[in-house]
Amino acid sequence: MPDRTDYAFMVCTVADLGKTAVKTITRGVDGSLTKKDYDLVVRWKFSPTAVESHEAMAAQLRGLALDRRKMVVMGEHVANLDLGKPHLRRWADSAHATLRATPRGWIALDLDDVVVPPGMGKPGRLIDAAVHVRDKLLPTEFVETQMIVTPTSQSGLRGDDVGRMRLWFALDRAVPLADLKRWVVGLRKVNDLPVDPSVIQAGQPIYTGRPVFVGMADPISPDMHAVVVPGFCADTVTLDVSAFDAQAAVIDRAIKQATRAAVTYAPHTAVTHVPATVTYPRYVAGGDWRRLLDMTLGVNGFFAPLTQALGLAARTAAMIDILSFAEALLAERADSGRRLQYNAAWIRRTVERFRQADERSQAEIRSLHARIFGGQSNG
Amino acid sequence: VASEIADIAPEGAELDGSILPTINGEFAGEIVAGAFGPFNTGRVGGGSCVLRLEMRDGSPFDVRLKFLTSGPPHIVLRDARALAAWVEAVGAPPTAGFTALGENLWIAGCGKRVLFDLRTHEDHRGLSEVIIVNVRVERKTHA
Repeated sequence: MPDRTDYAFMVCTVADLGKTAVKTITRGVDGSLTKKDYDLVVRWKFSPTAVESHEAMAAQLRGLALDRRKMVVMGEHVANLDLGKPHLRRWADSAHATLRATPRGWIALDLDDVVVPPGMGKPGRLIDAAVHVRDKLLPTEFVETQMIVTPTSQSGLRGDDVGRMRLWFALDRAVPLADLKRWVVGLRKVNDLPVDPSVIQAGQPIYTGRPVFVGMADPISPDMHAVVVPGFCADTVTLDVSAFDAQAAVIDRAIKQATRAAVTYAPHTAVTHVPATVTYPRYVAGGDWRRLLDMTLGVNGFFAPLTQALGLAARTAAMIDILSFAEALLAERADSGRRLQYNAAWIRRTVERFRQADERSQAEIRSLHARIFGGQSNG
Repeated sequence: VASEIADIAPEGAELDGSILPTINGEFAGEIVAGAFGPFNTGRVGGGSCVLRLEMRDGSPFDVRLKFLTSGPPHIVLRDARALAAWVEAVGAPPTAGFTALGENLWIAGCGKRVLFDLRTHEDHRGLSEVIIVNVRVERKTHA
């Protein structure tokens, strides 16, 4: 284990010419908002950074908020990496990795569209919303614990009772990233909190720069770019990384069982031709995403059942049918906060995301099969 | 998540992976002649082969590998990547059908030391299965 430091991380600076690490949000003349996603940056310069107090970390984050070419990742650089040169962000493949996971003594919780009391979604009430999340929605070990609050790109833009924020907590010990990620996945599954686990990886960007706003001012004032919120109970969180393991496993098993009961496979066709006459994959989630949702929604939480069933529905059902069935079931079983969280826009986005992922993998399968079978029968 | 959704037990699938020892890492191997061919359970389909591995102590060990071309999309994709890596590593030409593919892979692999990066993991039924992660070739240094 490395020496314990409250906040140790890697600052990554864009090394590609003309690219940035921030979103662009444009307000149209009709008031609608258009978001341009992050540039695809290939090369980054890595700067290991460590600070030992919440105040020092907040100062770092305030600086990063105004720097459009920087973001942070949780990992550390691999040994013997020349930090004077730019590098790819690679961490999954150990043979070519430039970054690697290391235990960290802090965690950043990315809250996307968390339902907060009316009014707390407004830009000026970011801190109130963060305190509400910490003391009312997070597990008890977070209650009244010191934290740093930073806005994310859409803070203050999602509605009066929808919060978007990042909460930074120091931990009482360094914890492996895999354990931290498992804990966040469990938190999301068991407590139905919209926390993004993806940032808890060695090289996954935690974007820190404020977006470029066009046709509008940044709704978040500079004094709220990084705010230390005192805790009357503790400075650090004693995280039980296994807290959700058992419950998450129960949910997984229940949903898997229900999925198995609800899904059928289409009969395999013996002879096919690649790629001309085959729609890939020749697998059909024939059955019953409705049945799956009916069996699990509310019984096993909301997020996991919804994503599982919508993943199936995305392959077979029309959007209008998916929306009407899911919304009707949510109206019956979910409280108002969850209905707002899992609204039509969320359902539509989720289904589209699944469809795009499916299309990408089907295109890759077609291409690979053409290389293997040369466009001939593979039967 | 999309791939997890499809991780459903294909009824009727073979269970021959249940007694496998754990095989992780790179092993030299070659196709057992005549053991490459198509299969179809009615719900999933593809090809299977028997690969004779050279274990660490030099002893041979036969392992059955399956490659789905229809079934859960994430498995079809994984298996297509593995087969494509194998085809490219040995330089086998594309061909129609698993039987001919097996012949091509065997012929193209002759005179080469083919190294298979393998992993053993539990499938959704709790059974061990061996999958190919990557394939590369080393020239044989002896006859």
